[in-house]
Formats: sequence, structure tokens, C-alpha cells
Amino acid sequence: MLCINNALAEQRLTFGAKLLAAGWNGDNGAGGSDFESDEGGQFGLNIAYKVDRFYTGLNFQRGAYNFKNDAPDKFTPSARVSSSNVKIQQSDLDLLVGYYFWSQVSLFADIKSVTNNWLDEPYKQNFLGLGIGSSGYIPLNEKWTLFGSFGFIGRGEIRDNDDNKVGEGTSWALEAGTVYSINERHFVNAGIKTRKYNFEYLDNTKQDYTINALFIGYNYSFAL
Amino acid sequence: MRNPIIKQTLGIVVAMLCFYSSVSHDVLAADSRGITIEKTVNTQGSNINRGVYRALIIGNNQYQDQQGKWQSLTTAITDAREVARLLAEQYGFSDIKLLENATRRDVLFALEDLANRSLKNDNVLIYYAGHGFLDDETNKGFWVPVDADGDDHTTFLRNSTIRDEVSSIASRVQHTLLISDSCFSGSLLRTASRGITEADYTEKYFEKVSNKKSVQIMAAGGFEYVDDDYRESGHSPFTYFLINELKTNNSPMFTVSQLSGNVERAVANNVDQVPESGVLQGAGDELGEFIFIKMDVAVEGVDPDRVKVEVNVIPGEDARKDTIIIEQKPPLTKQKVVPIPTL
Repeated sequence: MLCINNALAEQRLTFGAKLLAAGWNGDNGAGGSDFESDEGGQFGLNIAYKVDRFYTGLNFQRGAYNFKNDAPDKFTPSARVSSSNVKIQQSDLDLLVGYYFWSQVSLFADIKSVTNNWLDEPYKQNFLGLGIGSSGYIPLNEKWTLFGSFGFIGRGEIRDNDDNKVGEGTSWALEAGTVYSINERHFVNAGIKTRKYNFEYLDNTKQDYTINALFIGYNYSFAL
Repeated sequence: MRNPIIKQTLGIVVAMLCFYSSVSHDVLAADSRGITIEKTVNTQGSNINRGVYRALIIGNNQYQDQQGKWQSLTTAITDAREVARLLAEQYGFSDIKLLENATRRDVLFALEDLANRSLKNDNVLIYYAGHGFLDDETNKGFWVPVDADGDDHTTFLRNSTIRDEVSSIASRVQHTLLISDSCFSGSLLRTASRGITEADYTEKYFEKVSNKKSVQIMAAGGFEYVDDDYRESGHSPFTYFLINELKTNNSPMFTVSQLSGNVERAVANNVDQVPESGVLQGAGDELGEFIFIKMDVAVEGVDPDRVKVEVNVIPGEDARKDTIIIEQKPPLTKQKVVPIPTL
């Protein structure tokens, strides 16, 4: 009698929204310049489905970064073009699956796409890769929970707006924050996130950049 | 299912209870003048009710409500455990079922089970600690089980259902006491005074009320909200003072009227909450009294080893060994919703 409820795997659907205030900085490698955005940010929406220890989710976020001086260089299969005084729109898409191998620690795989679009210029760049990572949380009390994740993409492809491969890259991301449970359905969160990208183009130029962000978010979650 | 062997119960008793026929500590203190206080096994001669003491103790902390209306409590299980321990160790309850984080079905099943195993002369106590709910429009009260779903009243336990179940138990036994430590629990009862003053607590009185049927209720509050944790004691205010009264009581016989009066005053004096007590309407109360028999009363000037109080136990069973049967839900993993990780 007492085991009935526990025998049923709980299914939960969660919708989330996230606002990031971020800065994008890096260097264009040999022969290039350092760059740093003066303002930037992204807004994201996500959905997650969890059944027992398994979860899957989709995250999309988009925003723009303004570079008054030097900006990331643009690469095509045959050329490298300097860039400055430009606004770059960045769109992130994550499709992930994960499993809580321990009660509060999960391992996940994430197919990640990052598209950088030089606004007002006919150039886009997409980085696509499969990453793996680990996430976890620590409940502090009934209301507060700490959470964090770390993951990396060992190898991803970089393509230009004509879908030509222009290079390869790696990436890692680190995120930490806290969640406040308003009640059983409403949750707010805040934290920090840093993402590092190391690109190597076909002409052997190495371009690195980092995006650091503070974020706040809201999740609406309910059992199915 | 009834247990036929229970009919052969040993009686309450003791020399002390016999002495208590004159109910005077002066007489008890006469031990120093050569009167020996020791256990008497004679039960036939006692006029005090000789039933077994049974209890169903329910404590609900971990509410599963996905709609967020019923937040988890912090003290209900602690309250329930302490009440169960106290009844077993100090008041001779030999049949206690402790139900933690009970669903609606669990509660109904346990009440039915309790009714089935209770016998004619038994004394049955039902204790509930958990959320309560009052429908403002209909003025109907409810217990809220851990599987309650938001505002869906059909997932609650309606007062009328509780009354029916308790009435079913009361129809089988001599004394029934329902203690409800939840919001709006006063909606369960009808206030009734037994008209007894402090001076009336004589052996004659105890005999009289013991042999009359009783169906009594103690409620943590009337039509009001009640607190969860009292001064970080780990107990609700009502149960804190209930436990305190039961612990500090030094009378071998202690009626619910005495207990409820003391608890009501203590709670009302300390928090913004007024407990109520009375009878369960329509359940056959005959102005009897549920009597708590304290096992370890101290008698001034008498060696504690020589003061022995016993209440009836179930023959053939080791009353001390398995007095409390715990039905405990595995701890629920409190649902923690964290943002999905991304790279």
C-alpha cells in the first residue's frame, strides 16, 4: 500500500525563461587584434521534460553584442576579414539529454549550435558540436538550492553563411547559481555562466573568445 | 479482524489506584507509616474500566501537492512520534500504530483497521497532525492528507467522513478520544461541558465516568489557522503543551477534561490560538471520560520501585516489544527544479 506512489515514475514538464547580461571578449590570434564588447546580452527560452532520472530539454537564446572598436574577425575558406564597429547577433540552440546517475548529479549530452550574425554585413558563422557535461544541485533548505554544471565540446565544426567549412573548434562552459522555490511550481534562479571557445581556422589562425554572463531566470514546472 | 484472546485482559491496577479511592496524597504518603504500596493483580474488584489502550497516531509533513497549495510542514511527524512514544512509555498504550505522511487512503484504511481490532472495553485514541482546511462557503472542515491535490476537496478527508469513521470505532469501544492538531480542527466538534470542577475528581467520579461511554475531541484551534513550530521547539504549540501536560502530570488518573483544560489555557496564554474540546456529535457520548493512566507517577516519600501502575495489555503479546508499529512512507525526494544545463 505504501509503495504505490513511489512506484510510479514522476514526469515533470518545465518551461523556463532566462535573461543574460554578458560580455564577449577574446583575441583574433596572430596578426589580429584583441576585442571586447561594450554591451551585450541574450534572452532565452527553454523547455525540459523529466521522467524519473532521465531528462531532455531544448534551449534557445538570442541576443546581440556591440563592438565599438575591434570585433571578431570573419573567416571564409579563402580569406580573413577584419571586423570593427559592428553589432553581432548571437543565437544559441541546445538540444540535450541527461540522466541522474546519482540522486543529485547527472551526466548530459548536448548538441550545441552557436550562430554569430554580423548585423548589417553579409556574414554569418555557425559553430556546431556535440558536448558532454555534468550537472548537479545541492538543496540548502526547503526553499533554496545551489546548482551548477560543467561541460565541453571536444570538437565542433565552424561553417560560414554559405555553409562552407571554415574551421574547427572546442568549447567549454561553466555555470553556477541558486534557485529559489516560490512554491511547488514557480522557481526563480540567478547565477553566473562563462563560455570559452577556441577556434582554429583552415589558414591555421587561432581565434579564442570568452563570454561571461550574469543571468536571472524563471521556471514554471509541473508534474504530468 | 478482532482478536478473541484480548478479552482476557489483566486490569488496571495497583495498590495505588485502590488507595486512590480516597485519592489523597496524604494516604499515599502513609507509606512512611508502614503502609506498603505494591501491585495488586486483582482486576475483578476494580470498578475502573478495564479495556486495552490503543492509538492511531498520524503525522503528515511531506505534502506532494504539485499545485503548491499544500506546503510541507516541519513538525507534524515530530509531534506524532513524541505523542506515540509518550503514550507507550508513560501511559501504558499497548497497541499504537504510527502513520507518517499518510495519504487519504492510508488514513481511511488505518481507521477501519483500528475499528476492526478494537473491543468493547477498549480506550482508543486517534491523533492527527497535519494540514486542515475549511471551506468558507459551506463551513465544512477537512483533514488534508499528503496526496491532496490543490483545491480539489475530493482529495481531502471531510469532517463528516472522519466523524463516520470515529463513530464506527466509538460504537465498538468504551472510550474514544480524537485529538486533531490542524487548522480549523474545531469544526469537528460540538462543545459540551461535563460540568466537573477540580474538587470533583474523586475515585467515585473516576469510576462513574469510566463506566460511561465517551467520545471526546481535543482540537488545536477552532475556526482558525494554527502554528507549525512553537519557538523552534520542533513541535506545534498545541502538541507542545499537550506533551508537556502529559509529561508533567503526576496523577495516576488524568481525564481528558483535565488535560484539555490545561492545554487550552497554556496554548491560549502563549500563542494567538485557542484550542477547543468537546464531544463528537451523534457518536454516542454518555458524558463518560477517557482516562489516561500514568505508569510512573511519583509519590512523595515512597521509593519509586514500590509504586507500580499497570494498565491492561493484550495477553500473549509482549506489550513492550512491539507496542508501536510504524507505517512510514519512504522519504519523498523533495522535487528540486533547477534550470537545464547548457554548454
